[in-house]
Amino acid sequence: MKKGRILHLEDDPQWVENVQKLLGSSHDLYAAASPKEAASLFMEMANENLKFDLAIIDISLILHDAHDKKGFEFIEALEESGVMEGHKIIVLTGYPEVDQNWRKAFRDFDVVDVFDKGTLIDNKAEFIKEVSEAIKN
Amino acid sequence: MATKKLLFIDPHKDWLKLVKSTLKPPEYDAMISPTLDFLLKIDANEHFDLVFIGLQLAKQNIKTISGLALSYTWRFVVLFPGFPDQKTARIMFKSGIRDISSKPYDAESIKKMVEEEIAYVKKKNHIRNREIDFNTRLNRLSEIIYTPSPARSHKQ
Repeated sequence: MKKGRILHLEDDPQWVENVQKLLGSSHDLYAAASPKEAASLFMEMANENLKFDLAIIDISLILHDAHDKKGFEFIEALEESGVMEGHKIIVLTGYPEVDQNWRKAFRDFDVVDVFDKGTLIDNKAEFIKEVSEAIKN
Repeated sequence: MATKKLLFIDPHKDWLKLVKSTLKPPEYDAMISPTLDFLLKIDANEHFDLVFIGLQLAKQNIKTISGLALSYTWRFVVLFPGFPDQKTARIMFKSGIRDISSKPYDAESIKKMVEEEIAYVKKKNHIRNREIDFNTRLNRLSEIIYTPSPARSHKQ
Protein backbone atom coordinates (compact mmCIF):
# COMPACT_ATOMS: atom_id res chain seq x y z
CA MET A 1 0.00 0.00 0.00
CA LYS A 2 1.28 3.44 -0.92
CA LYS A 3 2.17 5.57 2.07
CA GLY A 4 0.55 8.92 1.51
CA ARG A 5 1.25 12.43 2.71
CA ILE A 6 -1.93 13.79 4.23
CA LEU A 7 -2.69 17.31 5.32
CA HIS A 8 -5.15 17.34 8.21
CA LEU A 9 -6.72 20.73 8.83
CA GLU A 10 -8.42 20.47 12.22
CA ASP A 11 -8.74 22.93 15.10
CA ASP A 12 -9.63 20.34 17.75
CA PRO A 13 -6.52 18.48 19.04
CA GLN A 14 -8.71 15.58 20.15
CA TRP A 15 -9.78 15.01 16.56
CA VAL A 16 -6.20 15.27 15.31
CA GLU A 17 -5.43 12.43 17.71
CA ASN A 18 -8.54 10.45 16.74
CA VAL A 19 -7.63 10.53 13.05
CA GLN A 20 -4.02 9.70 13.80
CA LYS A 21 -5.19 6.66 15.76
CA LEU A 22 -7.55 5.59 13.00
CA LEU A 23 -4.96 5.78 10.24
CA GLY A 24 -2.08 4.54 12.38
CA SER A 25 1.33 4.68 10.75
CA SER A 26 0.03 3.74 7.30
CA HIS A 27 0.30 7.36 6.15
CA ASP A 28 2.21 10.50 7.12
CA LEU A 29 -0.18 12.97 8.69
CA TYR A 30 0.64 16.68 8.84
CA ALA A 31 -1.75 18.47 11.18
CA ALA A 32 -2.58 22.16 10.89
CA ALA A 33 -4.91 23.98 13.26
CA SER A 34 -5.61 26.92 10.94
CA PRO A 35 -5.56 27.77 7.22
CA LYS A 36 -2.36 29.79 7.81
CA GLU A 37 -0.61 26.79 9.32
CA ALA A 38 -1.86 24.63 6.46
CA ALA A 39 -0.57 27.12 3.88
CA SER A 40 2.82 27.08 5.63
CA LEU A 41 2.87 23.28 5.41
CA PHE A 42 2.23 23.53 1.66
CA MET A 43 5.21 25.88 1.36
CA GLU A 44 7.45 23.58 3.41
CA MET A 45 6.45 20.62 1.26
CA ALA A 46 7.10 22.55 -1.93
CA ASN A 47 10.56 23.54 -0.67
CA GLU A 48 11.37 19.84 -0.48
CA ASN A 49 9.76 19.22 -3.89
CA LEU A 50 6.96 17.26 -2.27
CA LYS A 51 3.20 17.54 -2.49
CA PHE A 52 0.26 16.34 -0.42
CA ASP A 53 -1.64 13.35 -1.77
CA LEU A 54 -4.76 14.08 0.21
CA ALA A 55 -6.23 16.76 2.45
CA ILE A 56 -8.65 15.90 5.28
CA ILE A 57 -10.43 19.11 6.16
CA ASP A 58 -12.78 20.11 8.96
CA ILE A 59 -15.35 22.72 7.93
CA SER A 60 -15.70 24.60 11.22
CA LEU A 61 -12.33 25.68 12.57
CA ILE A 62 -13.80 27.38 15.63
CA LEU A 63 -14.64 24.98 18.44
CA HIS A 64 -18.41 24.41 18.86
CA ASP A 65 -19.28 26.94 16.14
CA ALA A 66 -21.56 25.04 13.77
CA HIS A 67 -21.74 27.91 11.31
CA ASP A 68 -18.05 28.63 10.91
CA LYS A 69 -16.90 27.86 7.36
CA LYS A 70 -13.17 28.50 7.51
CA GLY A 71 -12.50 24.96 6.27
CA PHE A 72 -14.53 25.69 3.14
CA GLU A 73 -12.72 29.01 2.74
CA PHE A 74 -9.45 27.12 2.81
CA ILE A 75 -10.68 24.62 0.20
CA GLU A 76 -11.75 27.58 -1.94
CA ALA A 77 -8.26 29.04 -1.59
CA LEU A 78 -6.75 25.67 -2.56
CA GLU A 79 -8.98 25.53 -5.59
CA GLU A 80 -8.43 29.14 -6.57
CA SER A 81 -4.67 28.76 -6.30
CA GLY A 82 -4.77 25.34 -7.98
CA VAL A 83 -2.25 23.72 -5.61
CA MET A 84 -4.47 20.68 -4.95
CA GLU A 85 -5.35 20.21 -8.62
CA GLY A 86 -5.59 16.50 -9.33
CA HIS A 87 -5.45 15.69 -5.64
CA LYS A 88 -8.18 14.59 -3.31
CA ILE A 89 -10.04 16.14 -0.42
CA ILE A 90 -12.07 14.41 2.28
CA VAL A 91 -14.29 16.52 4.52
CA LEU A 92 -14.60 15.47 8.15
CA THR A 93 -17.13 17.57 10.00
CA GLY A 94 -19.24 17.59 13.12
CA TYR A 95 -21.92 19.51 11.23
CA PRO A 96 -22.68 17.84 7.89
CA GLU A 97 -26.35 18.88 7.93
CA VAL A 98 -25.81 22.54 8.88
CA ASP A 99 -26.47 24.74 5.82
CA GLN A 100 -26.33 21.56 3.70
CA ASN A 101 -22.56 21.48 4.17
CA TRP A 102 -22.38 18.04 2.58
CA ARG A 103 -23.94 19.34 -0.65
CA LYS A 104 -21.54 22.26 -0.88
CA ALA A 105 -18.59 19.91 -0.28
CA PHE A 106 -19.59 17.51 -3.03
CA ARG A 107 -20.89 20.05 -5.51
CA ASP A 108 -18.43 22.86 -5.12
CA PHE A 109 -15.24 20.99 -4.35
CA ASP A 110 -15.57 17.51 -5.86
CA VAL A 111 -14.58 15.99 -2.53
CA VAL A 112 -14.05 12.24 -2.32
CA ASP A 113 -16.47 11.98 0.58
CA VAL A 114 -17.97 13.74 3.56
CA PHE A 115 -17.72 12.03 6.96
CA ASP A 116 -19.66 12.94 10.06
CA LYS A 117 -17.52 13.03 13.20
CA GLY A 118 -20.55 11.82 15.16
CA THR A 119 -20.65 8.53 13.27
CA LEU A 120 -17.01 8.15 12.25
CA ILE A 121 -16.40 5.29 14.66
CA ASP A 122 -19.23 3.31 13.04
CA ASN A 123 -17.88 4.17 9.59
CA LYS A 124 -14.18 3.86 10.34
CA ALA A 125 -13.61 1.01 7.87
CA GLU A 126 -15.11 3.10 5.09
CA PHE A 127 -13.09 6.14 6.13
CA ILE A 128 -9.82 4.17 6.08
CA LYS A 129 -10.75 2.65 2.72
CA GLU A 130 -11.57 6.07 1.20
CA VAL A 131 -8.28 7.51 2.46
CA SER A 132 -6.30 4.61 0.96
CA GLU A 133 -8.13 4.76 -2.35
CA ALA A 134 -7.75 8.52 -2.62
CA ILE A 135 -4.00 8.17 -2.13
CA LYS A 136 -3.71 5.21 -4.50
CA ASN A 137 -5.48 7.07 -7.30
CA MET B 1 -24.83 34.07 -26.00
CA ALA B 2 -24.58 30.46 -27.14
CA THR B 3 -27.71 28.36 -26.92
CA LYS B 4 -27.57 26.02 -23.95
CA LYS B 5 -28.43 22.46 -24.76
CA LEU B 6 -30.42 20.82 -22.00
CA LEU B 7 -31.98 17.41 -21.51
CA PHE B 8 -34.74 16.67 -18.98
CA ILE B 9 -35.64 13.06 -18.14
CA ASP B 10 -38.63 12.57 -15.91
CA PRO B 11 -41.67 10.26 -16.01
CA HIS B 12 -44.12 13.14 -15.44
CA LYS B 13 -45.15 14.24 -18.91
CA ASP B 14 -47.02 17.37 -17.79
CA TRP B 15 -43.94 18.57 -16.00
CA LEU B 16 -41.83 17.92 -19.10
CA LYS B 17 -44.30 19.96 -21.16
CA LEU B 18 -43.94 22.82 -18.69
CA VAL B 19 -40.15 22.59 -18.99
CA LYS B 20 -40.32 22.63 -22.79
CA SER B 21 -42.60 25.67 -22.84
CA THR B 22 -40.46 27.51 -20.27
CA LEU B 23 -37.00 26.99 -21.71
CA LYS B 24 -37.22 28.23 -25.29
CA PRO B 25 -34.79 29.09 -28.08
CA PRO B 26 -32.64 31.01 -28.74
CA GLU B 27 -31.47 30.90 -25.12
CA TYR B 28 -32.19 27.20 -24.59
CA ASP B 29 -32.52 24.07 -26.65
CA ALA B 30 -34.40 21.86 -24.20
CA MET B 31 -35.03 18.22 -25.04
CA ILE B 32 -37.39 16.14 -22.93
CA SER B 33 -37.91 12.43 -22.40
CA PRO B 34 -40.03 10.37 -19.98
CA THR B 35 -37.55 7.48 -19.98
CA LEU B 36 -33.82 6.88 -19.91
CA ASP B 37 -33.93 4.96 -23.20
CA PHE B 38 -33.66 8.24 -25.04
CA LEU B 39 -30.35 8.98 -23.35
CA LEU B 40 -28.97 5.55 -24.19
CA LYS B 41 -29.78 5.92 -27.89
CA ILE B 42 -28.12 9.30 -28.26
CA ASP B 43 -25.14 9.60 -30.58
CA ALA B 44 -21.82 9.55 -28.73
CA ASN B 45 -20.88 12.94 -30.21
CA GLU B 46 -23.99 14.61 -28.87
CA HIS B 47 -23.31 17.32 -26.33
CA PHE B 48 -25.51 18.53 -23.49
CA ASP B 49 -24.58 21.33 -21.14
CA LEU B 50 -26.88 19.93 -18.48
CA VAL B 51 -28.85 16.72 -18.04
CA PHE B 52 -31.59 16.80 -15.39
CA ILE B 53 -32.98 13.47 -14.17
CA GLY B 54 -35.84 12.79 -11.76
CA LEU B 55 -34.78 11.00 -8.57
CA GLN B 56 -36.74 7.77 -9.12
CA LEU B 57 -35.28 7.21 -12.58
CA ALA B 58 -31.83 8.11 -11.30
CA LYS B 59 -32.12 5.64 -8.43
CA GLN B 60 -33.34 2.83 -10.70
CA ASN B 61 -30.57 3.42 -13.23
CA ILE B 62 -27.72 4.62 -11.06
CA LYS B 63 -25.12 2.29 -12.62
CA THR B 64 -26.03 3.38 -16.14
CA ILE B 65 -25.99 7.05 -15.17
CA SER B 66 -22.70 6.62 -13.37
CA GLY B 67 -21.18 5.12 -16.52
CA LEU B 68 -22.50 7.97 -18.66
CA ALA B 69 -21.33 10.58 -16.15
CA LEU B 70 -17.82 9.16 -16.28
CA SER B 71 -17.79 8.88 -20.08
CA TYR B 72 -19.23 12.26 -21.03
CA THR B 73 -18.68 15.84 -19.99
CA TRP B 74 -22.43 16.29 -19.56
CA ARG B 75 -23.26 17.67 -16.17
CA PHE B 76 -25.86 15.44 -14.52
CA VAL B 77 -28.22 16.98 -11.99
CA VAL B 78 -30.66 14.81 -10.02
CA LEU B 79 -33.98 16.39 -9.09
CA PHE B 80 -35.40 15.42 -5.70
CA PRO B 81 -39.16 15.72 -5.14
CA GLY B 82 -38.81 17.84 -2.01
CA PHE B 83 -35.83 18.41 0.24
CA PRO B 84 -32.82 16.25 -0.71
CA ASP B 85 -31.73 13.84 2.00
CA GLN B 86 -28.04 13.44 2.68
CA LYS B 87 -27.89 9.65 2.45
CA THR B 88 -29.44 9.40 -1.03
CA ALA B 89 -27.64 12.49 -2.27
CA ARG B 90 -24.29 11.06 -1.15
CA ILE B 91 -24.89 7.93 -3.25
CA MET B 92 -25.72 10.16 -6.21
CA PHE B 93 -22.63 12.34 -5.84
CA LYS B 94 -20.36 9.34 -5.41
CA SER B 95 -21.80 7.90 -8.61
CA GLY B 96 -20.67 10.88 -10.64
CA ILE B 97 -23.73 13.12 -10.39
CA ARG B 98 -22.52 16.72 -10.33
CA ASP B 99 -25.37 18.29 -8.41
CA ILE B 100 -28.71 17.67 -6.78
CA SER B 101 -31.63 20.03 -6.51
CA SER B 102 -35.21 20.17 -5.31
CA LYS B 103 -37.47 19.68 -8.30
CA PRO B 104 -39.00 23.00 -9.31
CA TYR B 105 -42.70 22.94 -10.13
CA ASP B 106 -43.35 26.32 -11.74
CA ALA B 107 -41.88 28.10 -14.76
CA GLU B 108 -40.04 30.75 -12.76
CA SER B 109 -38.36 28.20 -10.47
CA ILE B 110 -37.40 25.99 -13.44
CA LYS B 111 -35.71 28.94 -15.13
CA LYS B 112 -33.99 29.97 -11.90
CA MET B 113 -32.62 26.47 -11.32
CA VAL B 114 -31.23 26.24 -14.86
CA GLU B 115 -29.70 29.72 -14.69
CA GLU B 116 -28.00 28.87 -11.39
CA GLU B 117 -26.53 25.66 -12.78
CA ILE B 118 -25.24 27.44 -15.89
CA ALA B 119 -23.69 30.24 -13.82
CA TYR B 120 -22.06 27.63 -11.62
CA VAL B 121 -20.56 25.71 -14.57
CA LYS B 122 -19.20 28.98 -15.99
CA LYS B 123 -17.50 29.82 -12.68
CA LYS B 124 -15.98 26.34 -12.38
CA ASN B 125 -14.72 26.29 -15.97
CA HIS B 126 -13.05 29.63 -15.39
CA ILE B 127 -11.07 28.17 -12.46
CA ARG B 128 -10.24 24.88 -14.18
CA ASN B 129 -9.04 26.29 -17.48
CA ARG B 130 -6.11 28.23 -16.05
CA GLU B 131 -2.61 27.06 -16.80
CA ILE B 132 -0.20 28.19 -14.11
CA ASP B 133 2.94 26.67 -12.66
CA PHE B 134 3.08 25.23 -9.17
CA ASN B 135 5.16 28.01 -7.60
CA THR B 136 2.77 30.65 -8.87
CA ARG B 137 -0.04 28.58 -7.37
CA LEU B 138 1.71 28.40 -4.01
CA ASN B 139 2.24 32.15 -4.03
CA ARG B 140 -1.39 32.62 -4.89
CA LEU B 141 -2.43 30.32 -2.00
CA SER B 142 -0.26 32.29 0.37
CA GLU B 143 -1.67 35.57 -0.93
CA ILE B 144 -5.24 34.35 -0.47
CA ILE B 145 -4.65 32.99 3.03
CA TYR B 146 -2.68 35.95 4.32
CA THR B 147 -4.81 38.71 2.82
CA PRO B 148 -7.64 39.83 5.10
CA SER B 149 -11.08 39.05 3.69
CA PRO B 150 -12.32 42.62 2.93
CA ALA B 151 -9.26 43.31 0.74
CA ARG B 152 -9.83 40.01 -1.04
CA SER B 153 -13.41 40.90 -1.81
CA HIS B 154 -12.24 44.26 -3.06
CA LYS B 155 -9.67 42.67 -5.37
CA GLN B 156 -12.17 40.23 -6.84
